[in-house]
Amino acid sequence: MRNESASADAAAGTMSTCGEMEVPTLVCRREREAYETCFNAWYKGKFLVLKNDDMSDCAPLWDAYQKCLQSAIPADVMSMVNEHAQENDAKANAPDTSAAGPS
Amino acid sequence: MGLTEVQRYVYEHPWELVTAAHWMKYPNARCPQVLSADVLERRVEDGGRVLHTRRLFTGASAVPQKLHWLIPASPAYALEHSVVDTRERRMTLTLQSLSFANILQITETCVYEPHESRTDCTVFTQEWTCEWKVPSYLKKRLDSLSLQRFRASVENGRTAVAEICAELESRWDEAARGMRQLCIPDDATDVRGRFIRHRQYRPDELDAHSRAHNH
Repeated sequence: MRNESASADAAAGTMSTCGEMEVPTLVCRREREAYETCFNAWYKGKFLVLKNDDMSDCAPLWDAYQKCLQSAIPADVMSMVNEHAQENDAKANAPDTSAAGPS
Repeated sequence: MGLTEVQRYVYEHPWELVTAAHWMKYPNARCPQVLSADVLERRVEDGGRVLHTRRLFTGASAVPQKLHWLIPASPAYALEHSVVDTRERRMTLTLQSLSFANILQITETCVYEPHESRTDCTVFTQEWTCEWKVPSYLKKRLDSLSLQRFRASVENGRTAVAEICAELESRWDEAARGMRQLCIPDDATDVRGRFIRHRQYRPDELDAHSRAHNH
């Protein structure tokens, strides 16, 4: 079952809203769908069967999608993302000394 | 100190198929609170065996409707970081709320892995933590409201993935689908109870099940 409100919005010409709320990334819906169709095929056909592959099949669609997102995602949201991404990467790369840290 | 809830669910599908379904989950009419899920970063490591993905979730406000006087309705964002390891057959992901971080933090850590005793089944474990950073007299009530909201939505999310799994199964044309085994976990009764509610059992299957497991 797919969310149909997005296509209704597109038909009405308000591609980036959902109800009364602005959803910035909905403007990239087409690029996302094109990329994800490619990704899903790659995931099943290559990644899961351990075919050593670097996702280059989907590279053009990925580039188009990312280009759209870069202009769609608000700057304040991106800075929240970058802050968290850095924290995550730091935790992932830290030596495994976290025995029973509080969380 | 936050409120934590752990839930475990068993999908009657192989791990590979369930993780593929995970990527197809959104947008989904069963999960209206998720308005968009966008991949920000993706890379393959370890000779093509490990997939790292970072996704931005745009959602309806994390705050219950009745509290919109406190926090206005605007998109709430969350970040999902996941690792799929095809050699270990394990997928782990962390979903962390981003918006209103000074007031509310919600974290979900999930694992998809093959069932310990049934090779065609996948265990999905969700650990959800909520922490409201508010005066203590409000905290308990708000934690409880958030937990209710989580519990109400989590079953829909699993149903959404289960439906995609069923769709994929017929499309992927998996072998040996004829004899389906019941995936009854050996542990806690609440897990068993939840599993039974989700599947449609024939009366004779129920009798056999209760004979086998009723003490």
